Amino acid sequence: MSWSLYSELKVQPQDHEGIKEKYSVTSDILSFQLCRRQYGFFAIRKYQPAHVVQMWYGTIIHQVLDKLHMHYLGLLNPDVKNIIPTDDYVKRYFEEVEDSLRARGIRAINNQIRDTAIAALLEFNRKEGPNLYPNVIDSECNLQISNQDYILHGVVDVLKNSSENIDTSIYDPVEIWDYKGSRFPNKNNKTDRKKLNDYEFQMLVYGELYKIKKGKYPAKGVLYFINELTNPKSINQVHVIDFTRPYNIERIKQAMKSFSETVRNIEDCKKNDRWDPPDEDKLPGDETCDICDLRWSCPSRRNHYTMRSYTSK
Amino acid sequence: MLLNEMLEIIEPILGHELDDEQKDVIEHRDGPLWVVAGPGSGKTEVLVIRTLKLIFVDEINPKSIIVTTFTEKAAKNLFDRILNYASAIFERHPELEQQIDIHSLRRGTLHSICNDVMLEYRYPGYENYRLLDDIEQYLFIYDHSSLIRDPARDKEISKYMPLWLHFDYLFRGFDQRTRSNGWNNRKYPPNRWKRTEAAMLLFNRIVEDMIDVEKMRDAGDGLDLLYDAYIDYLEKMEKHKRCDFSHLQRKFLEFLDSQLGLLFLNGDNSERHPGISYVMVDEYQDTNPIQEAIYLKLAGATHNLCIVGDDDQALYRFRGGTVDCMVTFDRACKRAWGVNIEQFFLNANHRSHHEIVNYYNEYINSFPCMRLEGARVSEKPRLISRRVITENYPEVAYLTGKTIDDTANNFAEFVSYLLQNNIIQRPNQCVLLMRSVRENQSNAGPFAQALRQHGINPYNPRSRTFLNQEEIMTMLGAIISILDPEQKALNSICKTAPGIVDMVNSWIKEYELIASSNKKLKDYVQRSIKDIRALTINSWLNENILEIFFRLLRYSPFYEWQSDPERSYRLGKLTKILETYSAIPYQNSPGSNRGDLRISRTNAGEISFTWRQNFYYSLIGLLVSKGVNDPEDEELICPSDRLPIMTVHQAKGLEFPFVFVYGLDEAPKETNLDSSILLENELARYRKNPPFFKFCSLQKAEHDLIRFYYVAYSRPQYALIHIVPKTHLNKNGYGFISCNAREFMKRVQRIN
Repeated sequence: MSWSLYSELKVQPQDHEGIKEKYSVTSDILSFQLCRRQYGFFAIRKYQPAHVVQMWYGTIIHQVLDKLHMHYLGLLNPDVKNIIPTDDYVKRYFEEVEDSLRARGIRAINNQIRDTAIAALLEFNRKEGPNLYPNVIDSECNLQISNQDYILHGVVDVLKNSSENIDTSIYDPVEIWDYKGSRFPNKNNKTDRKKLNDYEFQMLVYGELYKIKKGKYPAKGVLYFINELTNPKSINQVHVIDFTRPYNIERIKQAMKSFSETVRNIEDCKKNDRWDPPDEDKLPGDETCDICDLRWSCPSRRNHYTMRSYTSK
Repeated sequence: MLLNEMLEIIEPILGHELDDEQKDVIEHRDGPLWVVAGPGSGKTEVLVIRTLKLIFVDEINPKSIIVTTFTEKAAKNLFDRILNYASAIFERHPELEQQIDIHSLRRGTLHSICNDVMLEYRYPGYENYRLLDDIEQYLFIYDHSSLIRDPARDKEISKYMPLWLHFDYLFRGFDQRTRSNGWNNRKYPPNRWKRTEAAMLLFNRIVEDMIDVEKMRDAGDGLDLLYDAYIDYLEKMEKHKRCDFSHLQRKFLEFLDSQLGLLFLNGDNSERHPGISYVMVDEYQDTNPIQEAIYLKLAGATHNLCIVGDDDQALYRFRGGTVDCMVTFDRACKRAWGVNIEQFFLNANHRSHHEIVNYYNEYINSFPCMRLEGARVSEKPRLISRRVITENYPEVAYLTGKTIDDTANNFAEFVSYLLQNNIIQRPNQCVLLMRSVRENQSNAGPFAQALRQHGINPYNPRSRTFLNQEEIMTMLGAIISILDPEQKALNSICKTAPGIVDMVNSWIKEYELIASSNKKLKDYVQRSIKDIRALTINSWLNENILEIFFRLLRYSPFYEWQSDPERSYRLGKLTKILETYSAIPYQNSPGSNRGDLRISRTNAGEISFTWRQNFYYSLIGLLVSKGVNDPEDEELICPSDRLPIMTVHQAKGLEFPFVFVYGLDEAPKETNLDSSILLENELARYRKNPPFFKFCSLQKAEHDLIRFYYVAYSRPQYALIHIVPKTHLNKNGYGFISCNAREFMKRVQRIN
């Protein structure tokens, strides 16, 4: 046996360093914070949900608004560059997006929802368009930075010039806008308060990402609740985070700390490949679990959900 | 920043100095650049540092640089290296961090870049399209293409018969579903599955080889029918907003000609649209004509196209890759732009023991067919070894045995010896490379078994044993028990598809075995059957097929299996397969979903018979025929306590201390040539940009075999061990230098 010919050789293993992971504010951090089991199964183990989360409303609102921005920039038709889209254009863009979504099986649940969406978009275009479109710097803008351990990622709906009177040596005269296809959260409702809190977290992280990239904080973050536009009694569509207030800078620091902590928790779960449901006191509310495919088998919630019989639709 | 200053920062991280050839590539400024880089020559590192040089030294906006490579994993790895070096530079020059947005570098596979850019620019021709992967494209063609739906049952009335006869070489080989070989009865068209596979191959080739379809149509002899079917396929995809991976590239080419595309290419001096200044491509040897056209267009204004690759390592002809793009890059640039290019060879090998380098140098140069003009990049120098290994041992050797089992056992024993004597510390310092890693008797089966018997756990996620795993069999068995409780639909296909029926029956049996000791699971399935029996004709079930899956997870043993990562990942992959099937729309009904379940129009209490038959024929038929791989961890090559068994394709770009290469190939014959070679050659005459050199199919098959083993032999760092059963040693197989078995035995040391 000539194997002993190899005995002189001693090959040390090489450790391959891990690649930096990319973490998105919404699809990783907020999802994991909401429910680590749901995150582990759907984002890591790649389970496919039984229904394409049919976010028809959110999708059509975002895509049409995007087309309105492109329209003003002359990217859809150079002849209408710098002209505010008419109602007819809004309807046309709406139908284009609606058609393409329909072919994918994504449609409005009923006509009322469809009418609300189109009414909200028409109103937005009339009300905000003239002041907003000429000041848009970028839309669907990717903000990405990396630190020693990971890459942080977020997508800002709109970056807009700000006309606020601010100290430009400290702040950029820029606003970060994020569109929400919903009503203004009710501050008296626990679930809504949590939602608003998450939206704010998202904006605070975007504020920091912006600062790391550009050197200065933006002037403010604006959460725009599109559905308020169709409510005649609505007095307010926007929720503003004023970055010029020291209080909010402090909150940014807290948010970034929470971001890092969540990344650490995700990496711990990944290392052990364990995705247990959150602790009892941190379980998400029924509105999350009611539409989660894992509810039937979730160690924490399955007793809450009794199996329905098969019936016809 | 000066180049030297940048190199001073990054060379300590790199761990060595760059050699002169590498520096030449990095320093090159403008114009087309052709880098022919042998194995282990650090080509990816050079591409990384060249990118950094463009950004930090030449001050090019990263958003106007495109860097592409062959896989997502390689792209991620490449960007990770760029980020690491960039952070070191930023640490030294913090003022640059706000000026340079390194993350805006456009990197990825060409497919991902096509997708991302068209989404970024909201290209209307790509708005809300669903991308079809291989499985979904097959299922879509199976249900929608007129080629497949052609109802003809015999030669006289089958419109497409002349097409099938024209391409009869696409119907060779064994079919697992019917358990029959080839296309036997020429009175009828080939079966529906084979027609689907052939259609997929034809449609993809038409796009990837940039076939002039009108010219092809005018040639007649069945090709006119192919034209009709192709146009029909395009219309169906548009109607349902679907786009396969080949057409993703075609759409991108169309986008580049649009107003939005011109904005992307040329920019408007704004931060958002800086235009494209530099294009760099890794692994260019596996590119195809449409990709070549895209690269030439992307760099059309600047000619700053840098391609890196090694023609000797081209492996992907079966997926449409055409090594010609690499071999004749100079001619392609001349044809497109009328310019000459600069060429560099990276031939210093930093990976393998010098004897191994000598061995594969000699190997690739020993075949007369590789010396024909156009077979390889001309005037390619031999590799020079730069790796210093001082120990004495048989660097190139072979292990043998009387039979495959005996050989496998000797292999496992040798690996144990290496581990026990601390020659290596972990099993994953070795790799076993094979043509097919299916765990059956003639491939990886005996090797995996021998390793296990020696206490070494193999890692073989592409063994295609997914469908034989307990959790998958039980789940599919349970779902089918609910949807086709008496297996009426299954039994109706037993004559046409015995392979499918046997496989499905094995799942049902597995489910019944498991259910016999899991009462709640059994009760639930029984209750579901009863519920469905109570439903009226033509009604829709309130749960779709994936919902049935998720409900079954509630019961033991699925409930416990979710805590076992390996089983849970597999079940996750099954959801992906079921989702893919669900997403196939019905004919003339865009937006419909096949995962929704309807009760039969004629028999109350039963799921539509047609649905069940289609489920077996299309989805299960595909799975049975092709097999399914286990889910793989993108980041992981192999866990340290396991020994990887890989195909040569999987091992592309990797290196291991000990590489074991199993088997040899016989010389290719006219009768068993790969259909992708025949098709490539046949369609070449209709290409918009014809190839510069022509080789017959036999020559191409030979080239491919030679390159296949070249890739395998160039993976090791310390030792290359052939695994050759005695019966193979008498044959002059491909895999030996000059195909000469006698010389092999004289030259390579036997170690058992």
